[in-house]
Amino acid sequence: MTSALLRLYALAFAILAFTLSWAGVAARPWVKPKPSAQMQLVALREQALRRETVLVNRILRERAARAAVLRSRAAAAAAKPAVRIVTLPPLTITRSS
Amino acid sequence: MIARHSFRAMGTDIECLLDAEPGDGFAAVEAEFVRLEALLSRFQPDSELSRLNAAGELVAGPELLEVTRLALAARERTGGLFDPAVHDAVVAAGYDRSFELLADDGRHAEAARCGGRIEVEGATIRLEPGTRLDLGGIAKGYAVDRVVELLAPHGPCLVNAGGDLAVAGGSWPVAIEGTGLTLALDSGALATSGRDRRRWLLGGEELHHLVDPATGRPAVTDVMRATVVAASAAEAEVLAKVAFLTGSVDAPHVLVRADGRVVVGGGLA
Repeated sequence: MTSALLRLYALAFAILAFTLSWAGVAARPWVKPKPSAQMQLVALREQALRRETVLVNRILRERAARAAVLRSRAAAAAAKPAVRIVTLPPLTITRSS
Repeated sequence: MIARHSFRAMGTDIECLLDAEPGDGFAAVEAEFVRLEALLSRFQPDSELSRLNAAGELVAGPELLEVTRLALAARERTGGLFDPAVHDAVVAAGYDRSFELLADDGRHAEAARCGGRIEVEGATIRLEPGTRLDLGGIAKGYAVDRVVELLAPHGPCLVNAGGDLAVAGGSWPVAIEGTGLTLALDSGALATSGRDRRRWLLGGEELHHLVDPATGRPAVTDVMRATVVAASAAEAEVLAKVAFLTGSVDAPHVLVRADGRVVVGGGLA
């Protein structure tokens, strides 16, 4: 009786081991899964978006820098020039251009 | 000891004075003048300005865009006395090539329409058909303002482009030709416009480069030369043109009348 039970267990274990091995082999873990065409498109789009993000960030940085320069020029243009008539020897001359 | 550097660009003599070691400052100034002239000159057929005039519409670079905006603001502020759309009038008056190359070829000067519509939308400049820009009345001042920004980190400096000059730091005595006056400029800029230098004969008629936008012809005025002080050289150039046309301006100024009288005004003392 005990021996029959043992055999039954052994058979069940063997079937389980075989099934697991079969599943493992059938899964072909040594073959890299091929991404679907849709996934490839998504990956490409992601790369393109990353590139665009870098570009947009650069343009925004340049725009902000240019706006800062223009603001400082506008502030300088609003300032009053300091000038007076003197009797010093001139360093240069202004004439019709 | 003041370092001095002179060269020729934009059809005039450029002089840079720097109260410090120049390092590579003068080279940078010279390169910047050449770069801006290549963008803004109407005499260079491949300049950005010439391409705009030829096409009537252009997505412009930052410099042409900025100068055009400054010129349009000046046109509005001066009620059209300063107008960048005088290209055809200046050409019709015979100033159709670099000043050194002008010659009386027997033609007669004609008037041309000024004041054409100019639109700036984003980076796009659009000209009304038949309108062309001449930025000669502001581009040199703009260039002077830009190169003073470049030179200022080296030390107190002055840049003089044929009479349109700006300073940064220090105090700079500047003589005004034909007046016996010297102005000490501690900040800002000044410019001189007149009909005593850039003039030529066409069909036997003596003409000059300062066009009155109202008539489309070289201006008739009893002012020979106007020097105006302003915060920037571009603004000083605009105001000098206004002072030349009208004989008065609110900013500090020195006018030389045709009869030789010198008039000082605008709070200058």
